[in-house]
Amino acid sequence: MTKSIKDIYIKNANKWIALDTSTEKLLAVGGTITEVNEKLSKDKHKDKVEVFYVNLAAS
Amino acid sequence: MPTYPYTERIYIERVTHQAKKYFLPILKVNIKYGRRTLNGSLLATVDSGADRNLFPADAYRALGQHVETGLEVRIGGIGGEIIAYEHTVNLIFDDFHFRTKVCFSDEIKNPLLGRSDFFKHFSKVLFNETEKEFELIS
Repeated sequence: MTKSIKDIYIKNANKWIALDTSTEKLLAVGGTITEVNEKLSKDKHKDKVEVFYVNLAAS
Repeated sequence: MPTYPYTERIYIERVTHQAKKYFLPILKVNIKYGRRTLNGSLLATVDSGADRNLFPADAYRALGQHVETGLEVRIGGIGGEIIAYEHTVNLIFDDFHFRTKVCFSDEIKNPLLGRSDFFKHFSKVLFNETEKEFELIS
């Protein structure tokens, strides 16, 4: 897990995000999967783009 | 037979905002209904403790579908009972592509692949905690 990925997690806790795993680039952020899905290009390689919720857990 | 390494995940501690690592048996999956698929892959945990496949409801909505038209089911877990709606979709990952039932709920965030509608597509699902990998045997 690189520092840039950790920074993305910290900045986007409790949100849905889409990451390009090959470039570690943040592609989209949203409150729902639908919102993130609409921001993503249909031309991208779908299997390279991970869509997931960033959990903010209690200490 | 495909063997998959556990995926490193992190969660952010609420107070310190420090990132903590953990490893899970995760598959990158897509779902398809009609001709529509998601524009990215969902990270679904292969969960031997889950009876059913359970996904966030919004994943189904992103395919242009109405979640509440499905069969209403109540699913119990550590956190109590949740309401979900069962639909049949195509589940896609790597070279696998099969129709299966998925329950969609607004009360969960992380997709789970459970025994009755995911594991049953394989003769064995093996977890190796030492090597942090799992294997799906057809």
